[in-house]
Parts: sequence; C-alpha cells; structure tokens
Amino acid sequence: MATSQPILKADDLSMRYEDGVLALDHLNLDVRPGEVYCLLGANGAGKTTTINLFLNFIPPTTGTCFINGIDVTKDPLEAKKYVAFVSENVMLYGNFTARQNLDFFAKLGGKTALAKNDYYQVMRRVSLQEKAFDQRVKNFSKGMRQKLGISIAIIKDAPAILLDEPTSGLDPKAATEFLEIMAELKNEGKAILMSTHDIFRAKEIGDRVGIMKEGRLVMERTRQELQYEDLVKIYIDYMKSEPLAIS
Amino acid sequence: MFRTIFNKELLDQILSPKFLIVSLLCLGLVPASLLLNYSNYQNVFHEYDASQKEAKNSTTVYREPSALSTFGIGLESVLPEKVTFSKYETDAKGIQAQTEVLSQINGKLDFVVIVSFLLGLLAVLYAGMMASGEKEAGTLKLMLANPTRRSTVIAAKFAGGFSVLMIPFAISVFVGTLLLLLEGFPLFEAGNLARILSLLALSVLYLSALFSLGLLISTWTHKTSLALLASFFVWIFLTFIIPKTSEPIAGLIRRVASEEVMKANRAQVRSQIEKEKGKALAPLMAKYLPNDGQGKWDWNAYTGARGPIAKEYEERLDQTLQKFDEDYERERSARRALSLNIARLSPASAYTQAALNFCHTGIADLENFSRSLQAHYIQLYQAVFKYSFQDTFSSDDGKNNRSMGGDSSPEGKIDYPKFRYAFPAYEDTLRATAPDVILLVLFNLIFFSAAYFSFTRYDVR
Repeated sequence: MATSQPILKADDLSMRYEDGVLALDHLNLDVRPGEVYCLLGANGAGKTTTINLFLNFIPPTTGTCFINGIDVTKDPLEAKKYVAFVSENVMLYGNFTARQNLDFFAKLGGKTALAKNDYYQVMRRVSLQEKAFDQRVKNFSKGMRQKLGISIAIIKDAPAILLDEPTSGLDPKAATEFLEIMAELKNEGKAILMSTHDIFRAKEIGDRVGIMKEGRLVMERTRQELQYEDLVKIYIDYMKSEPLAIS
Repeated sequence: MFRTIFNKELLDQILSPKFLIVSLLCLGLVPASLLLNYSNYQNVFHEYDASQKEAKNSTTVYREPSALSTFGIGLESVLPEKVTFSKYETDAKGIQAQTEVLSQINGKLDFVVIVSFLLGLLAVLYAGMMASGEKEAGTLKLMLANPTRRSTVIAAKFAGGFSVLMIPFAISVFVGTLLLLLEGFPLFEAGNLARILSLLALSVLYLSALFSLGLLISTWTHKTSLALLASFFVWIFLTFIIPKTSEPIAGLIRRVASEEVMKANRAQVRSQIEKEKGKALAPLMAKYLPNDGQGKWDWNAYTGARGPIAKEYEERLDQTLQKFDEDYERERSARRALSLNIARLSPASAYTQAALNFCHTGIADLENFSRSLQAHYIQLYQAVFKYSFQDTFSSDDGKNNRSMGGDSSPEGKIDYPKFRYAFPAYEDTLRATAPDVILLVLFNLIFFSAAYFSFTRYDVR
C-alpha cells in the first residue's frame, strides 16, 4: 500500500445537476501512487459523475478535485497533464489505424517525439495482435478497442489513470488481460481510480474498494479488510438498504 | 495542439466515404455543368452575332449574352434576347420578370446552383456531425481528457473539416476551368478572370458560413442522427423556404398592380387622351381629309395644320405615360427591393444574388439592362418616334371612326441610334454585391462565434 501524497483527491465534492438531481453528496476520497481504488455502485450512484468532475467535464457544485495537487477547476489544463482516461466505450477514430489513433492521442497528451516503434511497443504491451497495429479501428472488436484505449492511457505516461467501467462488455479473457495490465501499471506507481459494476474484479484488483449509493460514499474497505469480509454480501446489503436521507 | 487536431480532422475526413462521395459529385457535376453551359452560351452568342446585322436601321435591339453565364445562368434565360420598341409600347418579353426575379433564378444546373444547393447542403451536413459525431464515438471525451482547450478543438475542427470540403471543390473548379479553356472560353478577356476569382472567393465565403452553421447545430445536439436531421431542415428553411416566400411576403406588404392591370390602365389613359386629340383634330380632318367622297384630300396641309393642335395632346400623353411608367417602376422596384432584402436573411439568397452579379446574369445586370433600354428609347424617340403620329377620331355615337397615321420627319435618311449593351463595370458589380458580401461575412461571424461559445459549454459526457 502506498503511503505518499495522493495523486487524485476529491475534497467534499458535491454535484447537483440543473434538474435538481443530487448526483454527488460531499464525497471525499483519495488515491495514492501505486494504489487502485475501485468505486462500486448501481447505475446513477455517482461513479461516472466523480470521474467527470476529475476531468473537469462538469464543474462541481461544491468541493474540489485535485490531480497531483492541482485544483482541477482552477487550472484544468495543467491538471489534465497528470491524468489519463479510459472510458467505457472506446470507439476511437474508425477510419484511423490503431497506430494513427495512438499517435493522435499521444500528441494531445504532449508526447510529440515518439517513433513508430514506441507505439508498437505499447500495443504489444497490452497484447494487441501485431496484425492489428496498422489496421483500421472500425473493424476492431470491443476488446481490441479497449486494449487500444489502455495503450492511449499508457503512452501518456501520466501518474494517475481514471477508468470508467472499463471491463463492461468484455469477455472474461479480455477482462482478465485488462486487469493484468492494471496490476502492472499499479506496480509502476500509477494511481488508478476505476468505476465498475464488477464486484469480483474490484475485489481482485482494488487496494481499496468504495461503495457509492445515491451520490454518497457509503462504505470503504481496504484489500486487507476484504480478506475477512464478503464484498458481494456487503454490496448487496447496501443496495437493498433504505434510501438515504436527502442532505 | 491546433495543428495536431487540424491534421487529425483532415485525415479523418479524407479517409471517410463521404469525402469520396463529395469528390465524385463535385468532379462529375462542376466540369459537366461548365462545359454544357458554355456550349449553350456559344449557341446563343452565334444567334446574337447573326442578328446584329438585322439590327441596323430598325427599332429592334439585341442583347449580348454573357460568357460568364457559363458559371451562373441566373436571369440570362429570362432576360429578352431582343427588344422591339414602338412609340408607346415596348415588346420586351421577359422584362415582366423584373417584379418577381427570385423565382426566375436557380432554374437550371450551373456552378452557382451547384455551390448554393449541393455544396451548401454538404457543408451543413459535413459540419453537422463534427461535434455530435465525436461525442457519440466517445472521442470527444478522450480528446478533452487531455490538456486541450475547447477553443482550440473547435477552431481546428472548423479549419480541418472546411479544408477537406474545399479540396474536391478546388479540384473540380480547376478541372472545369481547364476544360473550358480548351473549349476556347475567353478567361483572360473582358475582366472575366477577376469576376471568376471573385465568384470563387464568394463561394468559399458562403460555404464557410454554412459550414459554421452546421458546426453550430452540431454543438446543440448530442446525436449524429438528430444533428443531420436538424441540419437538413435548417438547410431547407434557408435555401428554399426563405427565398421562395420572400416574394409573396413582399407582395403582401407592398401591393403592386400586376403587369396586365398596369397595361390596361395605361391603355385606358392613352385612349382617353387620343380621343381628346381626335376631337380637337376632327375639324381639320373634315377640312383637309374629307371622307364624304366629294372633297379632295390635302395631306400636306393636314400634317402642317395638325402640328400646333396635336402638340399639346401629344406632350400631355408623353408626360402622362412617362409618369405612369415611372410610378409603376418605382412601386415595382420598392417591392423587388423588399423581397430581395427578405430573401437576404438566407445565406443562399445573399450568395446567389452576389454570385449572379459577378456572372452578369443577376439583378444588377437586369437593372442595368433596363436602364440601357430606357436610354435607347429616349434616343429612338428623338430620332424616330417623335415624328410619327396616329390621329384617331371617334364620333360620340361611335358611328364615325377614323384613324390617320403618318410621319412628319424631315426629308432624308433616318439616323437610327445604335444600341450596344454594356455590361456593368467590375467596380459597379462590387458596389452592387457589397451588401451581400457583408451579409455573408456577418453570417460567418455570427454562426462561428455561436458555435464557438456553444462548444465551450458543450456537455461532452
């Protein structure tokens, strides 16, 4: 378990949408280097909103998101230098080859001096088939696109990675491969915040697991604590419990 | 960062099937329409050239067709090829089109129509998918998860996407112009090159306005299908609904009598004055041109004596008809101006009006031609018509009707004035098109600024 300063930090984060829905209610969490934090919760629990707030796609109603100590709302461009993102449905540019997609996003992430081989290396690392490197992405399966999505995150070489339900829709083999890569990135010292519905894989990969319900972080357990508890039971119990009082 | 997104946009669009479709459409339609219209122009010009010989010593004049109608036919097909003048009536088929000019243009396939309709639609649809398409594909989120300013993204997307649209446009224009040159088109004569370059610059300005509009629609929608549908409807509204309804709306605001009613009223006024003149001349007719079968006609005495009496009526008739025509023309011009101004709410109309003026087939040319005809009529009047007369006498009971026509021109050959239609100068065209060019610049600024600000607030989730 990492003990240094958090790379990702949500400080008393709340988000109320224009229609009045409270999507996030005073969320506090942090992710440190070399740590995987899994956010579990039903649809609408606030997992994706948390990630969207870290990426400054929406401004928080109250509270602050920090990436590498930088206030995301105040200096989004600087903060985004230190974070990579993998979304649930990585469609990418279908007319581009895998390498062209990687090249474009690498340049956006500030990596402008990469050679062809650097791209191939990253794609090999995520076990993308060699023949797919220069194939158009529109013919890729979801698993292949997801691997390419991780390549994009890897090539940016940011200290933090945000993953929004990255294993959703993947077959078991692809999901296992995906988690192996996450484990490697964690070992490299990346701070990983992953929202997921997959309780088993959350338990497998997460150093800490948080359960969200109605915008609140209602439970948090460390890997050590979960060795003696049944995460599935805890999760189901929370989901079945009475709705929370509106704050 | 701008360059990275610009290059991506360029490559992404070029690799897409829609680029192939646009290229094929442009390369097929633009050169074909230019060649076809140039061939038509040559035929019309040969007819004009041959008819010029007949035009000498007559009151009929012929209008020289514009070589630039190859690019935009516009009013070329409705303006009269020849006009025959008479003292009080002018047979100029097509001049009636002056009132409702907008419905007369865009009838045939030419470069201006291709740009205005086809490329205009493609520009809106092309851009309509840019933001919503990226959102749907999830790439916008990925892009903005990087240290990239939204303003840079929208500016680069505009520049990249629009450049891609311009590639097939530029190639097709180049190929078309090259083929025209091979066919003998007078590109380097009579300021044609400057006019064609102006037309091309105007086309780029128009297409960029529609591209910005598409981009704006794209930043208001979150689904490609919705963006395409909205873009299509907006295009229909701007390209068809506004121009086609501008004339009826102007007609409701400013009511102007129809051409037929005006002619009937004019004929009535003329008949009334002619009748009065006939009555005043009746004693002279009876004296010098008796029709009782006994007296002898003295034509010379009659023409000599009628002058001072007829002069008053003829002057009154000239003045009355002139005022009548001026009033009607003023009303008609006001209505036409109103209808054109309403139509200018549409970028397509603003473009078409300006583009056709550069082709010598627009409203500026129609007005210029009308002015030339009026000037020629005055010359003809002085040289020919003022000497001819027609005296009509009708008795009150209507039983005794007599009509006497003649010519009191001095001895010798009549010197018919020559008519040579001069197209408006380039500077005059620039002046005439300035409002439309300014409007297109404004459309560009408004649409792009709106798209820019809308995108900075675009919900990318």
